[in-house]
Amino acid sequence: MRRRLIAGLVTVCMMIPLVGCSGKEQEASGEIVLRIANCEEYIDEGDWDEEETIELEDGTTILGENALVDDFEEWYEETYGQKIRVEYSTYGTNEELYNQMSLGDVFDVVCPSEYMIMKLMKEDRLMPLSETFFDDSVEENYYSRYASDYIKGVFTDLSMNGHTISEYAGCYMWGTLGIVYNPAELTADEVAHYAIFMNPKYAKQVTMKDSIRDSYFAGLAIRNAEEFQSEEFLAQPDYRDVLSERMNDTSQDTVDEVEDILSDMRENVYSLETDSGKADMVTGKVLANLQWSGDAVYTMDQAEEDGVELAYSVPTECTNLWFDGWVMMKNGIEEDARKQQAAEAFINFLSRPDNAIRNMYYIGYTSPIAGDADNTLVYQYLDYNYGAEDEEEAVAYDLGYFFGEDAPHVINAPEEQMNRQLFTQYPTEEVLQRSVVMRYFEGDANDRIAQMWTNIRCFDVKKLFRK
Amino acid sequence: MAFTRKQLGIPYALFLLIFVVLPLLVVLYYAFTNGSGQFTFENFAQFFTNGKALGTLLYSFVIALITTGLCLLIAYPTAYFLAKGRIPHGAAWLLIIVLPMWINFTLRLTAMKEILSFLEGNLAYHPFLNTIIGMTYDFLPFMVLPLYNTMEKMDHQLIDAARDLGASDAVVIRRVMIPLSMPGIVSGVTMVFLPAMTNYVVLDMMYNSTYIMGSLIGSYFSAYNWHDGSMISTVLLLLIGLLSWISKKAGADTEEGGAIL
Amino acid sequence: MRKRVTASIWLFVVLLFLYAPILVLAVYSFTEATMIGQVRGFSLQNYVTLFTNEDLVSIITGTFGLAFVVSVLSTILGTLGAIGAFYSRKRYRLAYDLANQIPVVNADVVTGFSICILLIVFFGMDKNTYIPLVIGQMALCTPFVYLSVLPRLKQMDPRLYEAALDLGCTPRQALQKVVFREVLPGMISGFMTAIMLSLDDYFIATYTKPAVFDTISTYVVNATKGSQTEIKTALWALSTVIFVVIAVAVVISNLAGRDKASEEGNR
Repeated sequence: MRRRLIAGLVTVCMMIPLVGCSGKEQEASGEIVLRIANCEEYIDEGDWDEEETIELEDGTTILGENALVDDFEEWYEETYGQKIRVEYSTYGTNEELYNQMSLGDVFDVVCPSEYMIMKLMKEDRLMPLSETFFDDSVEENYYSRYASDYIKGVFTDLSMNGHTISEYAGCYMWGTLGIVYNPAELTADEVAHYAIFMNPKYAKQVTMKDSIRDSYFAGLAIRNAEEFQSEEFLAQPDYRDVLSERMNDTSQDTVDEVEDILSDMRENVYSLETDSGKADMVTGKVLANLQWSGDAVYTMDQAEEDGVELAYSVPTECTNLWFDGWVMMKNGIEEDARKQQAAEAFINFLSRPDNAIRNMYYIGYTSPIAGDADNTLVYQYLDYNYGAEDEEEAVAYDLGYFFGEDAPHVINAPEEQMNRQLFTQYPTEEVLQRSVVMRYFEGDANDRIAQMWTNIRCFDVKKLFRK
Repeated sequence: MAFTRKQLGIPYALFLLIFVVLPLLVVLYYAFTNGSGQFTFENFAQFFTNGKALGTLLYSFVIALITTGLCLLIAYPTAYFLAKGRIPHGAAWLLIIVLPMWINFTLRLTAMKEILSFLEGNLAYHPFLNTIIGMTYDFLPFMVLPLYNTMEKMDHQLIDAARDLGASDAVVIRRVMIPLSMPGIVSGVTMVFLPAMTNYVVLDMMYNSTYIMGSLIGSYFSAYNWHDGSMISTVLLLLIGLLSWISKKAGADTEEGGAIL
Repeated sequence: MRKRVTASIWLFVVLLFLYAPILVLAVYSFTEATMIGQVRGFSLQNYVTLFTNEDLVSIITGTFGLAFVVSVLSTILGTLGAIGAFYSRKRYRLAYDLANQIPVVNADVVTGFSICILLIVFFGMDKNTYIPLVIGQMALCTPFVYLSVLPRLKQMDPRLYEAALDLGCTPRQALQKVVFREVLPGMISGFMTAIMLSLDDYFIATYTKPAVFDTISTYVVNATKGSQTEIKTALWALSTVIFVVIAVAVVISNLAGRDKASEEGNR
């Protein structure tokens, strides 16, 4: 990083004409440079303590000594005999990533969420994964071999421009949207609804996400809460389709109504946060926080270390089923076969079950990797984490939908795990029934929602007269 | 061609043209066009007809006014005491007041934030108050400096003369001191007012989620909406123009700038 | 006497307001506490983190490196500009002054945004070259150099330059030996101002910096949103270190210049 800074500055000093300074790097002979952009704090950075070693039932031990990115460089050279250097950078949100790429940053592999992947697909900026990537006979194709069929299924259901997401993206992490809460202060009934964020009883003690889409989702769910819980609605034969339709509604009237809801909500919450929610929950400043399942796990883990028990709830109205996936950028790869191979190898390396476990342990999110009959590391890891020591008090938790129905995949977990980490990482099928994938909002719809989001942050002159 | 001293200025002249004047023209261009490059007033029309956007302008104004007023209230006596020799080694004390400016403002604000959250428990209960405290804390030295500079040059015999002629303290302050120190006041106000309307980092750090003018640019920037971002910039530029014009009328010595340490 | 007491109390309160946060944080940076108010044992952990955490180290060196380069370039450009403007005809001089004033009075957000719009959106320049960042900060800093050099030129005896020419100097030599020597103090204070502005800048950096690079400002703003307490408390150590370094530098430079200052003070 610093070397590039100095190099950049030297160019300035030499007053090189403005045009034509696209800054293409001199690549050392034979060395592949892979530019990866990932979310902040979204990969195992190594440096675990000895006692953190994960010891699985079959004797496998997993310990993150070095950063996963460094391990990849080493592994790639061993496996493919080519030297590789990863330039790793991070961004805060999907929008930031998109913005960086629109303003001239070039990456080879990036990790946006499903809606951003769809947007990039629409703009024809993504490179499809090669056919060999899906060849299960190749040992190193870990993604294709080990990713859960459930996730693959959802990825083939989502499409844009006549192509499915699965042609372009390897899923990295997935989860739900829900509420982390302090069970000592809040009842399960209160957190079963998004309306908790508007409850004046908890004014300034709940936090909302500073994210257009997640907040819009919560606002929309509040607007439709009554209807969604009515028996007729739930009994509809095409319930899931209708739910999805309603939760992707971006008509002006709906947006206006949600704007009113969110305006009130903003006044009620402690802050609109992007990341600090985790820390504030642990210190007890905040009692409930809208969160993605992965952050929720991390928060619960952190709180446990400080002796605080937190829990996770997926509101009964509905939840947002989300995915982050690795995609290759056309303008980065530029038809360079070596680069493409390296990029796909990177996705595969992250999908190797032991690496998936390292990431899950480190960041708390849930990997789509399930393994197969021969490689059961991930399932063992779950059992290692959540399997109850006292079989009698345990509750059976069926994860067949994720790990496959061919063999029994039922974890006997302590009852408390039913609203804690296990439930958060791997929701029940019942929760997934009321889950909705939020689509990418195009053109006008996007403008409407962006304007709505700006509006709720603005000081409303009318308020002065209302009082 | 013979070498002349004038030519030394050419690089800077070009720099100013390309990187100071041209960017503003480009901002104007974006402000008055829409996505397909057609000329339009729509960006502005939307801003000035939308109650919420005007609310932001109002809110920024209120924040800036209070911050500037508070800075002035604190800085004026301070500068006066230091400049008039009420306190020995005035110049050294001034240096001490300005010293924290060397610490990055985000780090300084972190410090203030920690103190406030210790005192208040939950920062979100008083977002407005905290914003004002944060801004005043951040901008105070910028107000002290120009005030000190003018007051040091002020002829103190005039004040004594007014007193000898029987003027009360209030009259001396109103009729003699304030007029004499006007250039310093104006240049201090220009240095504080505008940043207070635009520095949205202070708000963010103080858990105030209400937008000010600067945050609008930031949010349009992250939504890659160049046209509306430029529109807000243009509104701000007009304000800046107005402020500079007023300060020129009042004869502020802006050349004191920040060139102190 | 009473007035003096009032003045002293007032000054004390103002200084308390300005310094209390910094000093309290400085004290806490030597403990294991993660929040003000906690009582924990003495520890140098924050300082260890500060100087060993790779992210932090590269951010600190990057920020100071950037400030140095920007300030050197701004000082050269601004000094030449001031000399050129000073000897130009009045009309041009006014044009210089006016254009120079724009970044001084403009809001940083607008300066950063407009540079970003021009270089990156309009010209499609690559942020990774660091050119937009350096130019952006130069646009902010150079005018202050110009402003601190110009008064020096005004004070200079115009006959000095002519005399040098008469004594056989070429214009270039006269410039080097006479003019530059005269404006040197202005250049130094302009340089220092530029350093300060660059270190303090958030808005221009955030709109123009490459994705892989962070300055202290942009990093702190992101870090305070984050949940890593280790980094948070290491930043307390950082502000303490900066504060001590600056304080020491000021004391030294004041002691060195004390005789001169007292002479001027007596005048």
